Amino acid sequence: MTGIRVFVIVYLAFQFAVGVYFFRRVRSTQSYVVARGSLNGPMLGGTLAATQLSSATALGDVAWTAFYGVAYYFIVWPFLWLGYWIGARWVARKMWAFGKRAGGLTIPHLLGARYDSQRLVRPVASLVLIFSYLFSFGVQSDAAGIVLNQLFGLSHTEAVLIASAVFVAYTFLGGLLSIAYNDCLQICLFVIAYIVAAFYLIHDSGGAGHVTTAIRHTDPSLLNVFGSHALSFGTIIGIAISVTLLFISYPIDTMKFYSAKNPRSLLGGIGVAFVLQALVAIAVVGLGIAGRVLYPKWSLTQFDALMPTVAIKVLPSAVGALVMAILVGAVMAVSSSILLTLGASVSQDLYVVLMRPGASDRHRLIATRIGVVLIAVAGTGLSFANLGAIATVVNNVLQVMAASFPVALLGGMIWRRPNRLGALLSMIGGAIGVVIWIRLGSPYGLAPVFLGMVLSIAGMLIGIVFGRPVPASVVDPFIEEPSPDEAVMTSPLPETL
Amino acid sequence: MTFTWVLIVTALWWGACIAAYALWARHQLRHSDPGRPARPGRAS
Repeated sequence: MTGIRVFVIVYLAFQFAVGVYFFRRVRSTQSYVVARGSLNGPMLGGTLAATQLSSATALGDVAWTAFYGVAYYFIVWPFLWLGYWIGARWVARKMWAFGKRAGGLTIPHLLGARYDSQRLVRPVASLVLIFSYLFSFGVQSDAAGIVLNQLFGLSHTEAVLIASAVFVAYTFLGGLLSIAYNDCLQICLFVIAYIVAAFYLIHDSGGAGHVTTAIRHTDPSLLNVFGSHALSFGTIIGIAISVTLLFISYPIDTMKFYSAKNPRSLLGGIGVAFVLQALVAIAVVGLGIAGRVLYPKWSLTQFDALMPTVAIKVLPSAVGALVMAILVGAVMAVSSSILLTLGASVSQDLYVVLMRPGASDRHRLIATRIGVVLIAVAGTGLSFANLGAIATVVNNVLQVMAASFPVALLGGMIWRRPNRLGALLSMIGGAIGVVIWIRLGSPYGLAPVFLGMVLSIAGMLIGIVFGRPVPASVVDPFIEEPSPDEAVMTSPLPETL
Repeated sequence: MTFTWVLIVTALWWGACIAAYALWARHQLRHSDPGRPARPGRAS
């Protein structure tokens, strides 16, 4: 246990040191928010994967595999990649080109430019982003607090404050550069820890042959790749489609498209993220099934604690330490990206646009750092409020985001007709649809994103019929595929942009 | 299916998905980046 504690402390201290190191390198808003468009493929892939593979994967998905069997992951992961691919195909290149062309920093910035509405669409998009993700940030801080609380016996308040202090500090100091480097370290440790832990746990369960025998004794359908007794094929497909919608525009990842060095880094980075996700996911399948053999009678809620339990009780202390460190790190990786995304949005899409349009870059950089602190204070404050189960809140936030942005973002990149009114109605309608469906208790077992998406599409169509079109000169650069000139423009932006 | 086969089939299925993405990305980059020289012995 002492070894595990020391390793976690060293890991947290290292992450803080990375922030201090990059503090001196940040000289502009561009370098703070999007690393001055300098990330290569592996770096971008590392940070994309680390942000997506949150504690929901590290804890929740192991639990789902243990309880529901292998079919969930077998089917759902490719649908998640389908969502990413749709984003990569129709949004990523154009967003990246916008970043190079106009110094784009945030998703609301892109929407404001596409819909020619910097003072309405852009702030509204920013508010939707901030209010939904702020709750997610609150529960993430809470989750980090729970892990540190288990490990060190700190009070909940102390644990939340210490966990938050580390990622707030490195985000505040180094921005995306420190996030990307910490994320890459995190994802490498994640892959190593989970693969080693999976091998060890399978070995500890009596080897692969014995795992098959034991699972057949418990419930043979757990090894069926198209559904189990507890989770049917139809239910999984429903979940899988909602996951695709969630990841078409996953703002805390999508925003990082701006930070790619060139199109090769952008598309290559997304591919690297897929490989890293697959490595972790296959380990999760192994861990879940081996966990079911070790604890055949556990409930789904009990399986949520499978990884901390095996880290402390079953795995060798070195592997256990690594697993506990990456459980804390998973929360840090997600929270730091939320913090930067929201901090940048508060400062760039609200403060600068509405109050200081002519602000100098130095002023904007300070405003962004203040935005990060404001979001950190508000989010950490929320983590002390009783927000509900972590997975539920995170899922609800994802549903709101998935129903708010894709229609305006994707529609605006592939079709000339979407206009300002349509963008506003689709974002607001999507968010309201999700909230209504959640309030109704998700009837028919349908995920809230489905109603949200219907209202979002309806809002856009109403806007197209009744609103004024956006001038062709504004829309054209977003509809046309990025030109070869943009595609070969590989040098990072100047510091003073 | 045995546990070992589940892992193998899953790895192959996901690997095929990633390979499909890699082929698409390569195709995209070749067609939008005319300044990039083709590899020797291959059509651009």
